[in-house]
Amino acid sequence: MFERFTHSARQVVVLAQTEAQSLRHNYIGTEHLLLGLLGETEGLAARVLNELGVDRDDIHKGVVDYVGAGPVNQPDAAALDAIGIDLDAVRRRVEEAFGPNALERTRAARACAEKRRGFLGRGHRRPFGEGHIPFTPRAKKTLELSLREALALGHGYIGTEHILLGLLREGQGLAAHLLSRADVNFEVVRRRIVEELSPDSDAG
Amino acid sequence: MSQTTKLATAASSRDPSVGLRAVASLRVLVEDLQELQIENARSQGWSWEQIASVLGVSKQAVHKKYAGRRLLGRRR
Repeated sequence: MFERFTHSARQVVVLAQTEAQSLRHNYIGTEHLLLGLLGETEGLAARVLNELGVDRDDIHKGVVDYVGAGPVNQPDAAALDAIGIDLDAVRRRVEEAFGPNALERTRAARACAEKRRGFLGRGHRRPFGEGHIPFTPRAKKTLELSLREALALGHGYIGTEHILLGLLREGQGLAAHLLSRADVNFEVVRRRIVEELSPDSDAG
Repeated sequence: MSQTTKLATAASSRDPSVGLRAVASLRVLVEDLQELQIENARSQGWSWEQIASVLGVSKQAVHKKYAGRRLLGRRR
């Protein structure tokens, strides 16, 4: 799917994953893609959004207001170090007594038990492990639509601007909602992008 | 990790986000250790009462939270 993505567009997807992780969400939704677009400041999408007055921190706050951050479900070594606790040392001692991955094993068992009890009933609150976080159907749809928007503009690549158009075209996700709340709509963005990319534009 | 560690330590200890993150992490770590120790105690034949007494909580509290959890926890 990502073959035609520009370097910046790929960067957006990577940033979307980072944003999801830092919010402890176990999915990549349209809102994370939007945060990724705003974070990839080299991209045309970020430039257009900034010109339209969209602020990264406002969007981030909007995401937290709507869906919240996930529960802290694993200790953060850096945070513990700040108060003088060496997580690696604790882990080493525990593993000496109880075997490899003892902490992770009990944590996983606890997560299962809590899930069964319904403490973490909402799907997106499920703790996630290492590795890839899946896209939501809307985020997938957005990426598909970004290809369509690129083709509609006669572009042979998918850049950050096409992902932005995809988000707006998809229209139902949290990103589209937050953008419309910021008075950003498909037509305005599309016009801006065409202006920015026209050869006589001095925007570069 | 060393870089993030440095960042965290470099941040002022009065920065609430550092302190609160540490507390949240500590809570997870305490839960992990408690579960591990209780599992270990049970596998060594300790009663819920003995466990609760050392932990300084009521027997009911420990039993309610951990009984029935062992089937999962003991998988090695």
